[in-house]
Amino acid sequence: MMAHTPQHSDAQLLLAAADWWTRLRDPHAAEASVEQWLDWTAQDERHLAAFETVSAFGERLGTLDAAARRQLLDEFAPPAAPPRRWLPLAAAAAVLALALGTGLLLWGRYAGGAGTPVTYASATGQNRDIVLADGSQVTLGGASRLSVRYGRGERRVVLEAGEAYFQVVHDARRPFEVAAGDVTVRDIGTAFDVRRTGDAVAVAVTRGEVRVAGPGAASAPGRTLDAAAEQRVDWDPAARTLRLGTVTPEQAIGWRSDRLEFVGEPLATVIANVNRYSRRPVRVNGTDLAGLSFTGTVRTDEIDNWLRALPQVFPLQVRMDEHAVTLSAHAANGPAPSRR
Amino acid sequence: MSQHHPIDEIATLPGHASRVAALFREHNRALLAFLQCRLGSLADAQELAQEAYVRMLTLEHPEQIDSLRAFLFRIAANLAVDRLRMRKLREAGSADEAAEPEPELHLAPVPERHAAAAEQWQVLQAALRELPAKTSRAFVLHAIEGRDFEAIAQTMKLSARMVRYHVTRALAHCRARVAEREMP
Repeated sequence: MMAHTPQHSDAQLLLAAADWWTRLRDPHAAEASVEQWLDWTAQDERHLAAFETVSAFGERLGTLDAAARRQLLDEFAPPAAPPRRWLPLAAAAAVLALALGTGLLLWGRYAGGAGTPVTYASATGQNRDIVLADGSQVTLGGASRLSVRYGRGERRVVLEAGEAYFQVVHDARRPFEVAAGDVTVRDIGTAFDVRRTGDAVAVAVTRGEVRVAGPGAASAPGRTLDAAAEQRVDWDPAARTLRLGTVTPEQAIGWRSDRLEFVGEPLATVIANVNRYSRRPVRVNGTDLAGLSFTGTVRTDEIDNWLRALPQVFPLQVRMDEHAVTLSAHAANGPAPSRR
Repeated sequence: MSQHHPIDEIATLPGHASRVAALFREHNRALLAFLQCRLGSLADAQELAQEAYVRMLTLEHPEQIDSLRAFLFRIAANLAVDRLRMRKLREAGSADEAAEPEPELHLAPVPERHAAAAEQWQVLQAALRELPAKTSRAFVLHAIEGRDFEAIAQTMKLSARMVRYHVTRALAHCRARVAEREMP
């Protein structure tokens, strides 16, 4: 059909057709709705075609076989679960024993949606290597936390804080997904780095390809980006946009060899990441400093020296106390913040 | 009233028969799509569409009808309601069987059973995972389990309108994802 219409209007058309489908589905839909729908189909021949597509798709979904239906229901619409949390341990064990006794089949059903998450964390200043159950390797940056849940149909990882580098063993039947704040990264056979700084997320790909989805990616077509090796996707929580850029492997994973590399990043982001390696927490006083842009390398074993050198490149002063380091704007009215 | 009269035999009003024929030409595709939407089955839709035309042809007083098109879709909608009711009764009749545990082979992992369907199945599953939990839940309850919007609204403590909204979003999203794979 109209292969040359822009994606945008295709998506809108599909949404409109889906909307009509749900309206007409209701057996008690007003006759006026049917009339309006007929008018809509008469407006443009693509309208009816889109509706037919949606309707045929609906039929396919409604006629899936029993096992497929059950699997979808188990995962996406489990019956209002009894509050399992409160189940006495013995009872839970009995349920488990029963499940094991009944065989693989039940195992498959429970493993499909919700394995028990396993949490990994690293101390400040320490990277940590982890090998996951499927052989995928993760290097966790300093002060980082990760939870991993493997089901039969998915491998799901949540980066709760900090940074991690993933070398994923590809399995088309079990996609590997990393959620970091608002952003979801899906591997397509890949090695990639995910760094979470507050709500900001940076995804840097060193090999293969990933798909990065922002919140509401389903409804907003611009909220998904594919990134290949040496590309980087940044989620800007203020602008609520994904941005594609480039990155070298050194920049992406220098931290694994004790070098944090930054290219044009806000000082606040730089400090937040340095803090994952710093003996003493570093604070930034004043919002005018936070927005300064920093490009360069911070050696994690030389953080104090780097901090001492900062006033040479930024209009700020550094105060080092026993338990903290404070960066604050020059008392004197220095020059306008420079960008370097 | 028999369903099997050829058009010319019933056409006591020749003018009316040709109007119905025109109606058919102009709106048959929409009628089928409408019925497929209601019934979730194109085969059933075709059957009921035929019946709807026969009823149109055998109207006693077609001249009293304002809009033949509206009337055609009203008849079709009523036929669809009857058909759905019939299905429900049939399902209720076989509820005892359904309650029995199914043989194990039904539970073999879906993707392994039909190589061709496997990919679509995965795309669907993946697409659903990209959606907010409420959206995928409402959608699966409606499109897969066949529950109506009111029932889902009660279960999920949402308005029926919100349920419809979620189902619409999910339907468009999943369809788009599946289409991406069909025509790369």
